[in-house]
Amino acid sequence: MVIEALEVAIPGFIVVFLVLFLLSLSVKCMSFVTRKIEKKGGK
Amino acid sequence: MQGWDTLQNVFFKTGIAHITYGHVIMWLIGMFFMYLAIKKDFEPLLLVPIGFSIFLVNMPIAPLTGPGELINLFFRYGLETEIIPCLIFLGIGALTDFGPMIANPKTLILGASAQLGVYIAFFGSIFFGFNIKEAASIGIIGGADGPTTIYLASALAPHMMGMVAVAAYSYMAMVPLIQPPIMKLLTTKEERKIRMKQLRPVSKTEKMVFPIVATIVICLLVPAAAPLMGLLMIGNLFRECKVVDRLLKTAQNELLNIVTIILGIAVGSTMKAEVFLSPKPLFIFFLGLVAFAFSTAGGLIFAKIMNLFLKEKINPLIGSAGVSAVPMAARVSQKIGQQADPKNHLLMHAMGPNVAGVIGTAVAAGMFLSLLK
Repeated sequence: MVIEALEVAIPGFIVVFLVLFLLSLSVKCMSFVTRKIEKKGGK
Repeated sequence: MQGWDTLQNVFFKTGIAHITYGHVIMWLIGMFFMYLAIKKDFEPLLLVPIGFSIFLVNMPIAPLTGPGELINLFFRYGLETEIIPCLIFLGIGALTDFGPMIANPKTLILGASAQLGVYIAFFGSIFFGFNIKEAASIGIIGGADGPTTIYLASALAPHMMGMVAVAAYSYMAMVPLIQPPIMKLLTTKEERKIRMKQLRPVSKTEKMVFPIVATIVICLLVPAAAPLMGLLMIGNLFRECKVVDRLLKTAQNELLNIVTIILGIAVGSTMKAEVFLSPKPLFIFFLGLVAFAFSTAGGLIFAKIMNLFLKEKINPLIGSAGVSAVPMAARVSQKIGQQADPKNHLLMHAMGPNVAGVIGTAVAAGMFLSLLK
């Protein structure tokens, strides 16, 4: 049972971190691109 | 003699003949929840319907929760189908401003680290003799997100839904009592005094594109989280696109209120005397507290670890806001920060990890579902 639980918990926690880390990178990229576009649009 | 038999017959058709001490205890528990909600203002929107429902379904032989009966229909079509938690996420999305998180995306990591308690309580539950699906449903209490807790419990351990939901909402209401001692224990006064630079303004376009980007990233990586995250992001798009005012108002008000009523009644209906009066709920409440405490600690400790690598230090108190419970956990960060430095304003900084925690808990639930269902 403990091994089964480890097989759920370890990948689970890693994926949570990974997803939110990738999301933070995506948000950074999104902000960079939208701000560039908005700057260009403003010119 | 026949008259006596008829009277006896009539008496046995009343609830009075079937009352047990278990029913009376459950009435008192239901009344206690209503007291907390009405007198102490603890999550009244949920605890009033939950409390009354506990009271109602423990009326002996009342035709409420049997197959095809009224509250059973709420439960079957609302919770077993997982529609209601998802609709609540639609409303939450319509109410949430992701701006502080977009302005400082690092805070998303704090939302992930504050899921530590979910996994600690998951293990704790296994040691207390719960099976793996029940353990996941208990662990998710640490995310401090009611709809996600209900969503996961309805899929993995429907018989425990009432208990875990009540534990989750009770602890969410008690955030201002549970978190401060842990926050003070794990941070120094100097750390609590750290001032953070004011967040940059976030443009309308960024806010509008965010739900689309978040849906792509999350739903591709954890498809099982798509029902919750999808509806959270639709709701948020309603809010940010500024062209569907009617839909936005419905999602924020009427729809959210209707599903909250049905949710409260359906959740309370799972707390019948024969299910609730056992040692299990006590273990669940204890493990829920463990989950909550470790989630708070996880956010704080990870914020301190991040400070080892960051040029511009973050105040570790915002880490504890990673336990969803929007916006109460962020308010607690602000309050404790101001106790150390009255001119320090952490609220907007703490809102980042706070809303990231909602996403983190939904992802954690999605992972449990994809690995266990």
